[in-house]
Amino acid sequence: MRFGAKAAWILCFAWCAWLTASQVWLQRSLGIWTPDLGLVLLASLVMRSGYSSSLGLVFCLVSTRLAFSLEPPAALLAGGWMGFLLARSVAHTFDADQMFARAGAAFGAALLMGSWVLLAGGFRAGSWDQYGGGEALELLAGVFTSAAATGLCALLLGPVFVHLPGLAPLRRPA
Amino acid sequence: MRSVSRSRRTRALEALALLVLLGGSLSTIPVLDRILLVLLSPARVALDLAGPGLATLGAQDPPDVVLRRREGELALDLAERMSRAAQPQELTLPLGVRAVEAEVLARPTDRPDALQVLLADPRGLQRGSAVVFGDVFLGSLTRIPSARASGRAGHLGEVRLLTSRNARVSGLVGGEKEVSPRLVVGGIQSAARQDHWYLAVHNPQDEGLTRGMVLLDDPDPLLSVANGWQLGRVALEPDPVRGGQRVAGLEPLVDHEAGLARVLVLSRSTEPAVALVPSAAGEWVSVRRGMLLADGQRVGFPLLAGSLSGLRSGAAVADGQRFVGRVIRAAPLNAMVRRIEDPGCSVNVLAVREGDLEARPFVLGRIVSLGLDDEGRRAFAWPGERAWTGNQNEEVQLWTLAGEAGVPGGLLLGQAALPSGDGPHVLTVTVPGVELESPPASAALPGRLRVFINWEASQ
Repeated sequence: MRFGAKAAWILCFAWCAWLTASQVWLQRSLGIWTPDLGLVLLASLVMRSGYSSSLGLVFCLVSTRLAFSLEPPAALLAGGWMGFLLARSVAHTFDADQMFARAGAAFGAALLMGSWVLLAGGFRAGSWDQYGGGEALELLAGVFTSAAATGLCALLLGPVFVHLPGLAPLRRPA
Repeated sequence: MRSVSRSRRTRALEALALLVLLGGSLSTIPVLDRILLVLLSPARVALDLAGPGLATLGAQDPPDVVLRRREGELALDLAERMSRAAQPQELTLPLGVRAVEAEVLARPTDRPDALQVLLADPRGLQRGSAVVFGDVFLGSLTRIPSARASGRAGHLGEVRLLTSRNARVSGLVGGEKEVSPRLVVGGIQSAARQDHWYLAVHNPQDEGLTRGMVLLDDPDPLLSVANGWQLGRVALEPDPVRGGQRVAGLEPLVDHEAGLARVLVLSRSTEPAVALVPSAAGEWVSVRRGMLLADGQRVGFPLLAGSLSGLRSGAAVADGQRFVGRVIRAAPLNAMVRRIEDPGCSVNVLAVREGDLEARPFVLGRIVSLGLDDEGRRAFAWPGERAWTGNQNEEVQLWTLAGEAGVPGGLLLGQAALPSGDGPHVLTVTVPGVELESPPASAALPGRLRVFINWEASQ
């Protein structure tokens, strides 16, 4: 791996950490309408680079998320990986410059990851009341709202995320 | 051709790994979780990278020093009261018998009828020695520290409770009767009432006369030192075959599941036993915390130290003397704490009347968090199997009870008004001087917290 690519992965990890920390900030005021900024970055990069995108993106996203989340590592990794696969399928089907496809990929990835983490948490706890303190449908509505905010954020700010400093080697199409 | 086959192999491996992860998400696979924590250990770097921003989120007013000092004094007083509660209340120790204090550390995960204990003075104790709490007989020692063990390992023992399937002792119906029928007690008998159980009674000598309190009366030389200690009160139920009433079992006199924090081991010796050192159950370390990415109602926060610093899953986290939550996972360099107000988080507690230093603490047992209510107060579900006999809605302080792995006794949970009567009840708990908000509520905590370490009973 060339030095530029190595540096790009290190910066990608750092950006994921800062974006997750920003999410913590935003959550205090936006509540369930907080977009998943890490997934916006992942979906935007995958849409731009298509099949050349790698699982390294999932690693950066999940390891930074794990530092701030109560969810079990296996659930986060599985959810992030499924989100990545979904975004890659969308990238393979649609043109990279289609903003709505990017928003759809981000929305789908957030919905898939959020629902999976919710499902896994409920299964592990034995009931959703013990897991999230509410009805399953209420919790799912929260996931849907957050996914919608993520899609909207990808629609409006996706290009900004793709052009974050240092990520050029990761956005080259195959 | 070769690259096509490699690509297929890679995809097959990816699919397999994803399947394993999907399975590992739905149920706890400890090995997988441990591997993933090591693999994803760069997470610690993410906490450091996010550090400057998060430091401002942790800002908190300086704690009320007088209030905190008072809480520390109350905790010490509580430890003394727990010690007094374990001593015989109406009975007196026979001559030549000594009582060795033991703190309950945990219950082995695969044996709920066993207690792992820290013995204050293991000298002279044997396998089979009688174990009591107050005037109640509990069971016998099944493991004693080896003579070669030193340090903490030289004080670790294990108790088999009378609720165990294989436990059997001889009893005698107490009271001022001319004839006291004998019976055998041990194991559990399920009751007609849902979620209720009795100590099982075997071969009662005269079922018609088996009424009232049953006392231990065993010929075993190690158990006989506790003869006269109470086993339980006879519970009756309608006899569908012969009519009238029959013996259903013995109503237990203590909460075997959650109410045992300190017990006594009786042995024949004239040498006085050494008192229990309060800090022997574990140690505290100070650890820096980060801020939580809250999902829905979930509440917790990361710690900037992990298993390399001695942190283990299950360890209690405290702010001074106040119980904050428990470590749910510990990676080598970082850990995650689940706060007590996170829905589903539970802890064993006891209640103490404020200002009443003489009263015996009332054991509530396990309470389960229901999250924060609209006003930001903690709500807990309390089964209330043992009804509170004090005044309706009396203000009490709730403290943690030793006996749960990783959580020492004497940490303040907060204040609550206890409803009387049979449960289940919902308790609303407030913490003096702390205003919680809907998540994230970590801003109400200082930047450094205490974490309980070196508490494992297997050490």
